[in-house]
This record gives sequence, C-alpha cells and structure tokens, in this order.
Amino acid sequence: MTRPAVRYQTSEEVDFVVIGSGAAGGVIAKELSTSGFSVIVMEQGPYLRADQFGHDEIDTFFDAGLDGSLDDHPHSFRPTADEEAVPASFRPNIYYAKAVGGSTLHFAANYWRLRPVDFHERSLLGAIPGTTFADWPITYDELEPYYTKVDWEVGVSGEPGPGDPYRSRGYPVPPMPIKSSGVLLRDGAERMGFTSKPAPLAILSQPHNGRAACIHCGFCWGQACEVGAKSSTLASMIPVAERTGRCEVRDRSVVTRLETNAAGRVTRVIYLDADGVEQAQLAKAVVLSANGAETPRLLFLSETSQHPDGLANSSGFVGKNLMFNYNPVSWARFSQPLNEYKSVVATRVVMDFYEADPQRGFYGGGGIDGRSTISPLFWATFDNPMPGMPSWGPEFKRQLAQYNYTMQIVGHGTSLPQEINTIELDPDLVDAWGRPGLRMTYTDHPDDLAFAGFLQERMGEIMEAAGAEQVTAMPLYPSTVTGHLLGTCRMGNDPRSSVVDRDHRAHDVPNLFICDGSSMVTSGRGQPTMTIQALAFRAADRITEFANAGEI
Amino acid sequence: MDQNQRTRREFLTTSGSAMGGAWLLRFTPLIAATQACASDAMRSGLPFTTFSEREGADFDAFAARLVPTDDTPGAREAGAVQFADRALETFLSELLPIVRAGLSGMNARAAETFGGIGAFADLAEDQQDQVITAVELEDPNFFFFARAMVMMSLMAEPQYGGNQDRVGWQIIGFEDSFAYLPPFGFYDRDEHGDGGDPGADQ
Repeated sequence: MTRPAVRYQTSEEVDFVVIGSGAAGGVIAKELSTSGFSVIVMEQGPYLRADQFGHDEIDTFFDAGLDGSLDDHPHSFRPTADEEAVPASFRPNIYYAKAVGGSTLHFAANYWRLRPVDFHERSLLGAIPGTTFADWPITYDELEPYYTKVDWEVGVSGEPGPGDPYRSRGYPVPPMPIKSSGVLLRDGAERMGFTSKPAPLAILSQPHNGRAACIHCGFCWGQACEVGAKSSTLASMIPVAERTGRCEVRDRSVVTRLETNAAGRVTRVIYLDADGVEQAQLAKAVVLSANGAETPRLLFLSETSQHPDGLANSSGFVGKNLMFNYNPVSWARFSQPLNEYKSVVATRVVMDFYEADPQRGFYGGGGIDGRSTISPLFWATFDNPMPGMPSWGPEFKRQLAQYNYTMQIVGHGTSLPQEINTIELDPDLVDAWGRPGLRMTYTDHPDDLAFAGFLQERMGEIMEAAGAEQVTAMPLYPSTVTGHLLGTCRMGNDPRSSVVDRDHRAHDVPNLFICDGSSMVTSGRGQPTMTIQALAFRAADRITEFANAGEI
Repeated sequence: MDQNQRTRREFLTTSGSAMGGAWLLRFTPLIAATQACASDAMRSGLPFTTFSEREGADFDAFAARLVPTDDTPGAREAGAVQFADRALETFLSELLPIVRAGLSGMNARAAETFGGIGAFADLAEDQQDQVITAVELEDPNFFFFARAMVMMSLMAEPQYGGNQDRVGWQIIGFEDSFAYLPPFGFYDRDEHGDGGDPGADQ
C-alpha cells in the first residue's frame, strides 16, 4: 500500500530540509525519514517519472534535456582569474541534471570505491607545491560500512577484483554481462601483464529491492533510465523515503537563501515555488546537498552582516579547491563489429595504475575503462571525425560507418586541489529565478595532465595488444567542461582550512550540514558518486545521533 | 537592461517562461506532431514552410555533399532539407537567422568564385565542395549548426521527421530496438554461456 504523500505547511517547523535530491540528498532524505524525522526535500527541477524518459538525443544533447537550458541556468568559464570569463553558449561548461534524482539520472553509473590510501595520501607523499593537498578527516575503515550500504541499498552490480580495498560484504548482484569493449580491454591488459576486473556499476544486472534489471537499451550516458534499472536516487532512495509518510519531495522549488538568526543558526529556507512565488520554510536544521557548484552558490547568496563572505565561510574555503577528474580519451578500431551501442557504458576496468608512484616524477593515479561509442547522433555530430579526418563528404561517410567497429578507452585520474580553481557568483549573469549565475575558474595542475599522458600511453598499449587496427589518442586539452564538481566545501578538522567538520556539520553554523561532492578533500580516481553516497549514508547516521542526543 | 535591476514583474515573467518553457514542453507531443509533417512533406512534395524555394534547394544540395548518396542512401534520402525546414520553424527557430545568413553567404561565395548568379544548388558537385570548404573556415558558426542539423536528420529518432526509412541508422549499422540481449558483438560472442540470445548479432 502506498501512503498518500505527506505535505507540510511552510509555517510548520520540520526536522530537516534537505536541499537537493541527487546522489547525496536522495540518500540523506531516505535515511533521515526512515529514522523517524520529518523531512522536506527541495529540488529545483521537476519530478519526472521513468515513463517520461526515452532515447531522444536531440533533447538530450541539443535542447534543454535534463540539465535545463543555458538561458535558464547561465554560467561562465575562465581558466584563471586574470582572464575574462566567457558565458557558456550552446554547450554547458558545467553539467548537472535539474530534476528529482539529480545527476544520478543521467550518469554512466561507474561506482568505484576509494581505497585506504586516498584518505591519507598527503601524509604518505608530502606536500605538493601550489596545492591544498590534504588528508581526509576520516579513514577508509570508517567509511567502509557505508560503501556497503550503497552497494546493497542503492544497488550496485560487480565482483571483487585485484587491488580492491577490504569489503565487509559482497556485491548484491553479479556484474553486468561483458561487452566486446570489455573483452578487448581485458585481453589487451592481460597481454601487457596488467589485470582487470568487471566494472562496478550502479545498474542492476538482476532484479533487486523490488526493482527491475537492465534491458541493455544502451542509452545510459546523458539519459535517464526508463526501466529504473539504473540506481538513480529517483529509482532507489526517493520511493523509500516517500513510503515513510514523513518525507515530502517539493520539486520545482528553487532555493534562493538560507535565513539565519542572531544566534547564527539557520531558521528558514527561502525559495521560489513552482509559480515563482517566494516562500519561507521553517526548519530545525538544514542539510545542503545541492552539488559542488550549487552548494557554494547558496552559501554565497546567504551572506549577512554576520557572515559577510557567505554563510559557513569563515575559512574562505567555500567555492575553492574545485576538482574535476581528468579524463584522457583514445579511440580504437577493430576488424569485427563490437556493436557498442548496446548495453551499459563500460563493463571492464583496469586498476593497475591506481596508486601514485613518486618514481614517475609527478603525482597521480587512476583507472581505465573500455567503453561505448555514444549513441548515434552524438557519434555523428561530436565523436566523428577522429582527429585528422574530414568532417563531411564521402570519406566522412565511411568514417560514420565505422560506428560498430569502434570503442573508446577512457582514463579516469586525479585532479589536485588548488585554491585558484573556484566556483563563484558571476557578477553579470542572472538565472531565470533572479539568482546570480555561476562562474567557474579552472586550470589543471601540471601533474594532472602529466598523469593523464602516462595513463593514455598505457591505454594505447592495451588497445594495440588487443589487436586494434587503429588507435587514436585524443589530445590532452586543458579542462574546461565537467560533470564532476568536487572539493568546494571540503571537510576537515581545522575550521581555518575546511568548511565542514568530519561529520559534515558546518564549522560556523551548528544546524547546517553540507554533504555532496563539495565535501571531498581529494578527487579520488575519477568516479566520485559512490564515495559521495557513502559519505551521505555516514553523514545521515551522525546527524541522526546528534538529533537524538539533542545536539543540533 | 541591467539584469540586476529587473522589476519583480519582469522576473516573474521570466521565471514563468523558464518553468513553463523548456521543462514542460519537453513532453508535449507538439514537436513530434510538427516534425511528423516533415515526412509527409517529403513524401508528397509539399512546399517548404520556412525556407524559400531557393534556400531549400541550397540546403538540400549542401546536405547531399556532407553525407552523399553513393552505394548507400545519404542525407538527401534521410529527408535532411524537410527536417531542417520544419526544425527551423519549431524547436531550432533561434538558428534561423544564422542559417539564412549562412546560405546567403554560401551563394555570395559561389558567385565570387564561379561567377553567374551564384546559385549554390546549380553548381557542379566539385564546385559545391570548394564552396563548402571555404564556408567551413569562413563561417564556422553556420557550418557547425547546418552540419548539426544534417546529422540530426540522419541520426535522431524518426519522430523528428528525418531519418526517413532509418537510412541514417543503416549507414552506421544501428539496429533500432528497445532492448538487447548478449552477446552484443563479435568479441563477446563466447562469453555468455548458454544465457545469450542466439538471434543476436554475430
């Protein structure tokens, strides 16, 4: 039996308002509501259902898609503060879905755990000039039970492999069936003396928790799953939260400000409702999980005379230390058809280069996956031609026809935290709700690019060993575009150099918790969502303890 | 206008359009219905609704050089010009000035290079290729969007009015199915035990 959805009055002081319904917000809303608290989830985008999702590439890649239009969500990019920021036009610099489920709707669902080394690499390797490289305030062992919760509650398919960190429980469902790209990665790696394992994916290979298994339609990347097999929070967490009868999902609610009182506590969440009318929701506490771009924006917008540089920003670290994860990309062509348009993006990964090695002369670590060509329109418009190939004419048409003989091999690496890489308010842009647009400033650390080059060489070797007829390495352009928004409200024990404490409580605001990609201290090796959700499960546990002890 | 000083009324108008525009339109059948007309237009030879006859002929020739018809169908058979004609009236209407100016510029370039009245569509194919090569460099904005529309007409879902008889998908070997079973390709054919579908590719 489904209970009628709960609806709270704005004048009713709920236990928690969770801002954002994506990777972290969806988990925290589910955890807090099942623990007995009253919860409102504020989501700026609409509440879409699985039967509204399809394979419409024009909408996804050329129109508003799940991300909304650039007119509604303007933002700008500049490499450094010395350069003029250029507003994004036609294609975004910052990708994230604005809908219930957030970017878990349209991600590729690669779910890699961090390893123990990620949490104390600064102590292990020492300082790196020009960076804010730091240890995390928590360890892998503290986070492990929550990684396992992600596996089982969110739903992850996989199989343990070489170099994996300790896990307290196996995967709930077996890996997705291997694709030709996975076989070629596996066999090429083996011939090079490297190891590989099935890609852990937040996509169900078998029914689990009452949800259906993947039908291999092949439209994961950039698009939402119409059968709910992709473990978005829309499919996995939000329904559980709503079934408690204590969680209201308030969609198309655009938060403009957190109101604080003289005591420095958050009292109300100010937002524009679906009709554009300003509302103020009373709450005992707020959990901010809006992502590494939206979270800093909201903190900046919540400035007061008591918080002149933005809420929770006495450290000056809000919006700083932005990290992406650098992705070297190569293409490989084979003599027989791979038909990579079928099924999930990646089915196999190589993790032999995960650890940083000071012998290389630069910092960095990462993994490699073998993956699909993207869906037909994307292939024709953006993936083709390969470098040096014509973009039209008879030769281009022959290139087009290589679709089924082509795969991508993609590296996923570290990005070092640098104070110069930031999310800020753009001084000129205004979004459809009257909020300042975002301005992103980002330059890769030289080590990020050096490691990407190292990884790309290994990628080429693997594809050659797999028998590729042609391998084309894409140039390692400086990063200007991202869907990974990490580090902009980092966690730490020292309030002078971090925004939240080890339990995600803002150092400056006792009833404000912040948990999303912004919490990450280092970038990990390229697939952050698994860690964001483990942090969210852990944060929810800690918040529950504090609330029950009257410590919020 | 200083956007920071917009009135509340202006703001509500804007936010209303934001919420009523992109997101809600996404799932209306309007676009699909309009675009379905494109396939009718192609089949029955109806006149263009956005392009002039001259513009239509030029875009058609342009599309046919980008993805030519050889031993397999190309952009012309996919219905590129009918697709673009309807798309520029509906969901790509903001591109119309760019495309219109670009086609006109293509004719100017043709006249400059080959004399006469500069009708791009009337040039020989190798002359058209020369003009396109120049335009790709001189007006990359037009070229990008015009090319993108040709690709859409080949590769997007047929509900948009292009991809007639799925010719774009035939070029790349994309089999249109809602679901697939392993094995997926040649290299994973022996990886799935007896669980695979013997009817699947390879």
